[in-house]
Amino acid sequence: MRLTIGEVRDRAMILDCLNRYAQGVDQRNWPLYESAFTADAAVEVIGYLNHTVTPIEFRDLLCGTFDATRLSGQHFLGNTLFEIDGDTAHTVTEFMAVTLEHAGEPGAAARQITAALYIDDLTRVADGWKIARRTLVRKSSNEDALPFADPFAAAIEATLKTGWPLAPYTQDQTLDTL
Amino acid sequence: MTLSDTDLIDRAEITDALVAYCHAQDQNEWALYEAVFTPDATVAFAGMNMPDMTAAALRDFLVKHNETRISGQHLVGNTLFELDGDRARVVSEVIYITLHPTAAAADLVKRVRGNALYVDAFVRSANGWRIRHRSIAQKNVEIDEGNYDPALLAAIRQGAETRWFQTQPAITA
Repeated sequence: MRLTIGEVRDRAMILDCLNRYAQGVDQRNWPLYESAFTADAAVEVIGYLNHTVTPIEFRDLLCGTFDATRLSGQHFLGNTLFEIDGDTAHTVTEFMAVTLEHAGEPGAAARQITAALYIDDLTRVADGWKIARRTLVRKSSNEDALPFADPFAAAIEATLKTGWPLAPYTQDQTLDTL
Repeated sequence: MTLSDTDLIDRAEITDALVAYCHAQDQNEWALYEAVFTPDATVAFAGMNMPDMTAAALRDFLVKHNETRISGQHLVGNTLFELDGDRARVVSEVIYITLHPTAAAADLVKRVRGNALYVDAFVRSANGWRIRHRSIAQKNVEIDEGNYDPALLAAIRQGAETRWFQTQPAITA
């Protein structure tokens, strides 16, 4: 059946929401991350968490597990398939995450490349869409060691201190004002 | 030239077909494969040791190939659209990784990682936009082996066996 321009607009707003989560996690912009979820949202990770957690609990888990050694991260999204039904939507999205961490010895970093799926139930809100339930399914996860010495190490670490996006997201803002 | 609403709808429907192909082969959602190609579609391979074949033959090949796989991801991006009435030429980059068991040990897996290009000739059919001819051009491929934590492997297999789409099929053929 032919899509309508309204459905195309809904898809764009859903992608905004998925991208807010990814940018929030990768740039450690937690207001942006939180703006992707409904107040009562649930997050589960197959084979990693044996129960669902709230977005705040998941944020604290990510920070507590990774931030002491974290250098950088990129969750690259694609292949989103949409099933939109009125004010609810179900999407399945692939992502490839590349993260870099201190390896515990000078001059070395640990790189992890993970291929995985996000399966999301979304809800329409006043100004877009938010995730009500997210399931994360890992497909592969490969680690290797990289040489990590100056000047590259200092340059990458400096990116963590820039504070971008510049301002936390609020419901009144559009992304291009960040 | 500004894109019209119709252009945006066409692009979204073409993207649906591109994405349906990936989810079909990566999640074994073969109903989605029916929303990708015209009945007479053909597929050619460059940089791979594979003969040209029909889209139906490729489906059969992929179904069998996936029986040797633990998981797979074909991530599509950078899509360029050239629409011309009821035809479109669409070129997309793809980055892929697949995981396979080895005979040597349960926790030793083979990894295939590569980059490729999908070059697609689309036509507008009564059922929507469909690929009539696809060329897959391999750009690079790396094959190696690595050890996996058994608990992670179990989680990956559990995820691979779960059906993640609400409706069957998600896209009408």
